[in-house]
Amino acid sequence: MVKALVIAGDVIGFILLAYLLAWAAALAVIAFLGIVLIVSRGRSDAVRNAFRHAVAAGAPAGSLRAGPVAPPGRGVGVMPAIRKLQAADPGFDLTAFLDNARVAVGAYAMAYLAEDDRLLRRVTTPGFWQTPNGKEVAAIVANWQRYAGSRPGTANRGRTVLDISWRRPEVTNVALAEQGMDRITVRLASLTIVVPGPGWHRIDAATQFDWEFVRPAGQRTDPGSVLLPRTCASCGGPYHSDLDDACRYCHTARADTQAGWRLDRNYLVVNA
Amino acid sequence: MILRVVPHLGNMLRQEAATETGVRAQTSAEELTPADDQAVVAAALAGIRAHDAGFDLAATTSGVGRAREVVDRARQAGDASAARAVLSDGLWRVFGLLLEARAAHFVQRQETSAIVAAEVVAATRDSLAEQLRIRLTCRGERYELSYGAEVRGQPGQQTWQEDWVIRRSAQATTPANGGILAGLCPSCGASLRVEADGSCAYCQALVLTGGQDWVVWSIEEAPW
Repeated sequence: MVKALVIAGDVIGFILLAYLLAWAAALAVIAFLGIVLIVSRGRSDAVRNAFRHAVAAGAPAGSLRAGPVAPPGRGVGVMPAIRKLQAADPGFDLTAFLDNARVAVGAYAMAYLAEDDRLLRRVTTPGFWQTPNGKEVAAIVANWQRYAGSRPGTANRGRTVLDISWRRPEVTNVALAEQGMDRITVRLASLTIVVPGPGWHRIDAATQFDWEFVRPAGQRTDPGSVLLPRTCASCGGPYHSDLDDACRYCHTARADTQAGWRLDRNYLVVNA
Repeated sequence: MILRVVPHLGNMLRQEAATETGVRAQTSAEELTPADDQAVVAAALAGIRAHDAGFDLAATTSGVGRAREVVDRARQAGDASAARAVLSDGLWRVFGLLLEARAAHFVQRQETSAIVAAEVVAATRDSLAEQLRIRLTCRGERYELSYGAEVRGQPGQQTWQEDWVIRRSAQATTPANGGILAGLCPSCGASLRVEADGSCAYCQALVLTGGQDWVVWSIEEAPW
């Protein structure tokens, strides 16, 4: 009897201990996140940069790129390479290229914030989805699909997106015919304004990314591919939204040529 | 559960490390991209005039004001197609995505405003493209509601600034009829009606790629 009481006492003690430890761990995580929030959003650049260095050091390969905030004119050195590209491909137009890059930025923001990756899937290479950022977006969308799957009729996705824009796009690297691909890197800051949910304060964020676009080496710009595909090539039915990834009438998959260039990977740029 | 949360924490931290918050932007002096030195702007404008004798800064600025009205109407109506004729292809596509995302959460902008001043604060010209940043000072009321609750701005008269960036190819020159910013096709001169694929409804020319005329390339608002 006494032995049973001792055992019961030990079990209760262990349960209490585990309970307290769980609370301590939860409080530690909350305190850690609180410190991160205060430090990363504080006004001290020195502290913020120390935080950034620490995070950059621990990030998985291929998701972050440490670099300075691009000063104006940083991309001037790539002009000869762009000229070389234009000489080989007279139809290449930098303004149109950057305009297409903006679509990828918008599509990425829609996938990340509104949890809808239909457009992003049309403007990326298969390799993008093997990168850390691609996998992260895929996981976010898969989570929503699981959530919506168990709640028929769910329409709203993700957070309330109030604004998506970009600042200071700049071509920072042009690599031609490397490993069979032409590759152009664009550095820019994307700005998003979202409301996480009803009653929440909105969150404004400006995040700097490097975006790498590729196309097969030697490919030339097809003037026809600059036209936006607004109707189904198979049945002629109109697309109602840029997010439509298939014709609503004949269900043929929708192509999006992006004038040949596709997003291959992107990196968060953390100030060095 | 913890193992599922930990990778998300890592992602959150990486995002946080690369993020400048809007609060920080609001407290800094750089609400909008800082204006260039006026001498630099004047030199760039002179460069534009040197290759394009028809360039008229006043008419261009006035055209940007007209484009702003078109975009505002489209935003308030939640109909991106109304802004097709002034925005560059890519900007228009992102604008359309944005309006869809906003509509899904019943976001509405309430705005009645007028432009009280306009100034070119940056101008660049290189061998590939020309770009003007026109800072509009606006006066009026603007706020946004989602599910009927205010999520951005507040009712009441205010003054604010917006940057409208227009861009065109370095080879483009001002069409005699005024072009896109005057609501006319730079290629055939007809009243501008743009098909959904980006071509003029009359001559089928691609008019919003920036190859022939100014297009609205970016719209930047200070945090509000």
